[in-house]
Amino acid sequence: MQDEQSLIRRAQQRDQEALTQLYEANFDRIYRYVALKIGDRFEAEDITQQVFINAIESISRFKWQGTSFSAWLYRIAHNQIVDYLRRKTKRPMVPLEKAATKSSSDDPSKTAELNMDIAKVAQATKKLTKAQQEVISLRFASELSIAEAAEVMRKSEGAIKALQHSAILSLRKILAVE
Amino acid sequence: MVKNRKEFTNILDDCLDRILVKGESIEQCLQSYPAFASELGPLLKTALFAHKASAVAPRPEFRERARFQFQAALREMATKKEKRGFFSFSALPRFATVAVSIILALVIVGSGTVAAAGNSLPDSPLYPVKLATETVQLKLAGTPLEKAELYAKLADKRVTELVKMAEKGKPEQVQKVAQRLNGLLMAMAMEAKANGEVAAMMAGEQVPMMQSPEAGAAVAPAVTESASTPTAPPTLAPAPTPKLVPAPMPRPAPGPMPKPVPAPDVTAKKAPAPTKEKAPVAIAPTPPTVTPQLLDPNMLAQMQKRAQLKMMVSEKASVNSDAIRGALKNAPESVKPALYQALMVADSGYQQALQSLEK
Repeated sequence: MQDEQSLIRRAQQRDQEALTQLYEANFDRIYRYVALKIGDRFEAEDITQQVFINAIESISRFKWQGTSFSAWLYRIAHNQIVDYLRRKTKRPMVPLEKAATKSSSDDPSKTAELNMDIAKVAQATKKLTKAQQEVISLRFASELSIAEAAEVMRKSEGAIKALQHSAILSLRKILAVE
Repeated sequence: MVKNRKEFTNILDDCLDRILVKGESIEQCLQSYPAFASELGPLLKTALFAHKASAVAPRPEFRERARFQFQAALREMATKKEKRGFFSFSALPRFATVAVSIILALVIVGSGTVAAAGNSLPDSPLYPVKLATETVQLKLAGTPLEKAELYAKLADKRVTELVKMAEKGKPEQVQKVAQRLNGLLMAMAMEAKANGEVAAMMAGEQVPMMQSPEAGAAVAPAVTESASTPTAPPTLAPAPTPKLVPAPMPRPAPGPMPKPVPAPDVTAKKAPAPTKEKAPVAIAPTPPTVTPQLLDPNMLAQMQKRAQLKMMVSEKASVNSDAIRGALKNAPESVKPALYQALMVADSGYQQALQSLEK
């Protein structure tokens, strides 16, 4: 924690190395979070990039007041997604089944299968409530802990566990139908 | 009942932790909770299925480009910080900016230094004069379309400089010029977009400025929207002068490319649908006709200019991309990474500009 605090303090003083470290540490998981919520590869790329630009522009305003840096970053990502959904363009979608994966398999059929499954998850997630979508994206795409998800969503850990339960239940029903 | 439910959510979470973090199997976890196994099993399978989303990864080329653009934004930020306190055009009120620009233009146009600087390269001591002259030119450009056209022409110059710096084997200069190119292309896209919105308004098209509160509420998840939400701006404001703004990624294969939008059609096809609103009783109803504003010669001229600009940018995109590719073939190895990044910046920037012109 102490290390993270000093890293962020340096970043707030525009230390490029510190900013780069924060970027590298968070880039992939922010992308996954955005990708699952948007369900579109290219839009997710644009939004992810914008999240980090917004972050460096406003990092001086970040304060250690019960909020971790990553929670702050996720909120920027969340706001960016809300903003995108409000202004949604008519650009053709590129669904996640065409997304790159970090699959270790060299078998193209396995990779294709994984991509199809990811697209199914993204489609099914869209049918959940907004809060359920959020918890699924944070917990399963970004792999945040219950405590971290609670911080991002500004809820208690108990509330996140309950939300996670209801989200998985709903997801199961949706996936069973499809 | 409530207690049982709470207990179950805790058990579910414990199992998720054991499976997703510690690598245990579903069966191992179910053995720990036999009383809940029938209910727990299907939920854990669903959660594992959802966890496949964690395999989504940014495309390597996107990751590479995003990193480059992030670094470019950092450098731009550092440069701005250094320049602050000296002189900034943007700090001046608009009338003062124009006045200073005109005076500067009068002072420097025709001077031998400026003429000599016109062909200078980034490694030349005269190069800052060239950039300053361009800034003045941009300040003097009137409409967004004129600005966009000027940005396109300046981008050509940057590409020429890129190629020459590559030939000289100067990767750092190539990188710097690529940043400037990125700024110009993004500024061009923004000016084109600004003009498009004006044109759309002139054509009677709805340009959404604000979303209704209902629509906003519909998309806003429960997590946000308290006063303490981080105050990061939702989007970057369009830059009136060249500003390094990371360009969104290009849209390469295999994803479907956006369909090319034909050049603005100036015929009556663009006419908005006749309104169904009833005319006031006292006035004789008029038959629906083509909206007269469509025939506004100013608007037609604007649209034609926009179509011409789109063609010009499209040609430049192809020519400049080929020029960088050509340089890439012949460049020394030490310059190739910087040139490759420059190529990505150019492709992405031109694509963004063309998309803005299509709107």
